[in-house]
Amino acid sequence: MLMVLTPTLMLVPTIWATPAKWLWPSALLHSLLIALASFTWFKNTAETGWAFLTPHMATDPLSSPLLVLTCWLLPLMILASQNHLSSEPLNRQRMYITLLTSLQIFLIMAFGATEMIMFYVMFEATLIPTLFLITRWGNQAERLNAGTYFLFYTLAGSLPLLVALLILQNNTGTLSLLTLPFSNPLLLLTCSDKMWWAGCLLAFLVKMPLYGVHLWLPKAHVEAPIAGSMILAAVLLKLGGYGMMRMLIMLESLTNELSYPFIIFALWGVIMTGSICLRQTDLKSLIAYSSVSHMGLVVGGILIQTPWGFTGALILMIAHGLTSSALFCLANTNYERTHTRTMVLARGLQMALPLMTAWWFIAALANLALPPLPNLMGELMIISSLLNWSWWTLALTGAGTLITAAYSLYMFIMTQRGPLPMHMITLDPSHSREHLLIALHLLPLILLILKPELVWGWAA
Amino acid sequence: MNPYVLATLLFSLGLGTTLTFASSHWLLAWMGLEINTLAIIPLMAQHNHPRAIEATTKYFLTQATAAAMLLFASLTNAWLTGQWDIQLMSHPLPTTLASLALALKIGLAPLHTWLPEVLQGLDLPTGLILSTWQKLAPLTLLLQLQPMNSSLLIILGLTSTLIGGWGGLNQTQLRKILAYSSTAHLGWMVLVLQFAPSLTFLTLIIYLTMTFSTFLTFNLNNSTTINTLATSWAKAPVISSLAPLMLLSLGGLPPLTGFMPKWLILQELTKQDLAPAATLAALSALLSLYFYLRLSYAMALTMAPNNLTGTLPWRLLPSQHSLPLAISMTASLSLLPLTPALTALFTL
Amino acid sequence: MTPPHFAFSATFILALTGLVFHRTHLLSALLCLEGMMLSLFVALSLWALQLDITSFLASPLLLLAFSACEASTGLALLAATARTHGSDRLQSLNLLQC
Repeated sequence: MLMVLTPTLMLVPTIWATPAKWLWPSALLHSLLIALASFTWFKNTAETGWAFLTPHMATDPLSSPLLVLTCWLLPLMILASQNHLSSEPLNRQRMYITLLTSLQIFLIMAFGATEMIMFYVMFEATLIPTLFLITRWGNQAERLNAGTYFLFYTLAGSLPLLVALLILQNNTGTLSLLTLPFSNPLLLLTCSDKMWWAGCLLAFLVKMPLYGVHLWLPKAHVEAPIAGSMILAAVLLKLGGYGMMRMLIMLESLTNELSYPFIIFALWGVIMTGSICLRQTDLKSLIAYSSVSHMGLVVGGILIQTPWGFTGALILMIAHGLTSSALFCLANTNYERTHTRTMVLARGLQMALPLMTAWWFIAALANLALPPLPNLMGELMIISSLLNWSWWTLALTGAGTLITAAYSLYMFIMTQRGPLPMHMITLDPSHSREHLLIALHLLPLILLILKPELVWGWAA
Repeated sequence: MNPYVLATLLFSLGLGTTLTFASSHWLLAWMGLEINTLAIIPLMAQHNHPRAIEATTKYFLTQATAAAMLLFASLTNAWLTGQWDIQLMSHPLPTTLASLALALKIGLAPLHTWLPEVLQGLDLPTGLILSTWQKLAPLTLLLQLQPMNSSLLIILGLTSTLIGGWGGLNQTQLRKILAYSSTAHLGWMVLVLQFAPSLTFLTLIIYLTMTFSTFLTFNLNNSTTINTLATSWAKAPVISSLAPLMLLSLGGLPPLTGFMPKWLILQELTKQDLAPAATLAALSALLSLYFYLRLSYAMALTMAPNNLTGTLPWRLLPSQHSLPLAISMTASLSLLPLTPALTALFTL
Repeated sequence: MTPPHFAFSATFILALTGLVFHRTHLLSALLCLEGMMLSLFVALSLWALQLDITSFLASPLLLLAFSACEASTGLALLAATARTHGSDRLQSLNLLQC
């Protein structure tokens, strides 16, 4: 663990000590080296599943893909933010990269924690850097509103979780993930136990977000700068899914009986948010709602509690992390040239930026889960495990898939095809930095299907 | 103010509080409280300004009433049990009376209404004394009143956290906001008082550190309303970028110091099977967090217009020493990893 | 509850009620405070006399001294309020409300 965590910590002094000219290249290079070093986490030969044990941290097949995704995202965020920060004073640029690095530190500690309460503290600790990213480096005045929504939705869900975790600790005497699966199953019968169950899961459902408590997410995505949107879509939402998979081990007997409305709500959310996407005019908001829709599927897969459900959820989380982050990057390259997120104003870009259109095409296909991509693998596994639970879910998941395809194509056709409007004929050509950025998103996605056991989680 | 007079007043201020610390006898404790009140009144009224005088009058009336009630409680105790010792108070009636009197003295809801108005009338250094040093003596007495009416304290604590959060929501004056935040924090302290007094003590120390740095920051910026916070970047850029963290620490967000007392208190409450109270208290912290968040928006997360007069303070040297602020700011941001050491240090 | 106990408790509570509910003049508030302190003085001296505790016989004097200090502070504040607000009515102390 420390092999990655210590260099990440030392990235902060590096950023402040590097000469101005080399600030972005050296930050990028060092974070990329850290990301490469984090690949060693994939090699997990331990019999218990827990590898790279330190007194407080460890990885297992569930957390290592998410950890690697976290480490992989930092160089991409640095790469993506380079252009829109170039007009800022030097100290603010350094501050910004420090903020991104601190986010990665907290995320590594959250995913690597073996102690539930440590996971909780780090889960909450990611709020502050994200809040600052949204409210300090966002563009419009609405960002303050978005930051408030983000903070209060998440906290209102997660403060009951703290109480619930402390109750669990009083009952079992431990919160260690290594020993909790082996502790005596709790006898959960009374009404207050049901409240406790809800308290345990609510925080993660808000973070995912479940349809109904998702209102903070589109606001945060729309107002955040590109790096904020990327990390939010790619990793922070996955904290919710990860936490849910960890908590469900302890909630065994009650989940069967109580998860019914949540699964229905999640699947209903897939359709509802998909339909919202269909009539969306704001590009970033569309991508944000598509995240909500995909995460609804993940919630369904997790709450169904079958090995296939878990595996599908994890695969979909990783694949969606890369895809939605790539889509946000693409939206940002449009935004930096046209200075609008409205799709009606920035359309027909194939004429101006043909290579970008290729990237848009691949990303849109990944978003609608085209066959050779892990997105499809995740969705199929979730859909089939849901089908195994009840035939009727097929109506919801099938319609959801259809709508996903519809809005992905709508997004692609709206932004890329058609005649180029006259007000946009003097666009900057795309940089190789941007092509590299999207390639670094989509290559791992395509390569993952060659060795999907890396992101299979426990099923492997 | 004449330095000799000031020295005398500050000395008696310290004397009163230490007298209360040291006493085991109710009469002596009462005398300490009275000396304390009488010593701070000239400090509060030193600027002959209607608002300062009004604040002083209100403070005097509440403190004198609270002290008289405290003495009445102890006299009732003496008449009923013949006992003057603070720690040996056994009869429920005088104990309840005494704890209510002390609640009035430190400003726990629903007896808090004097606190925002009094704090609003004072300048920031005196306000700092009022919201830190003046809390110590009554709280030590409250800590020594050990076996008490449990539901009374829990109700006091919960109403304080709720009203402290609600009251601050529509304030634009920093000192009133700080007063409500003080009420909310005192609510947390009282909530856990009967189960783990050492936790109350730890919470008090951490609250004092955080309030100290908040007041010093505001004093450095010379600001008393939210509006004036917006230009603080021109006076002390580093502090204005740390200040939102400090305010969020005051609101109790992990991984900052302010989370530690809340965490430990919630743990203690769940151990005592008070999970609903714990959840309510935790959610009421969100109310307080909202106004801290608004302060930090105004201070660092938005850019004020860069007009020329706004940049003038840049060129001036700050009038305040930065060392105390630096130390307390560091403490109020990064003590969370030291939780075990601190809990060991502050056991009673 | 013995009669003296009842007497001083009733005096104290009446004075406290006066302070809390009759909020017109600062002077009347100060008088109520004095009434409270006087009842406490009576209670303390009666307690010491009744139990014949000689070491406590000086304590009523201490209490009286402190209450005198308090009364004089109150009167000083009365004068200050009269100078800044123009009257001693508690209604006029409204600069700090919100």
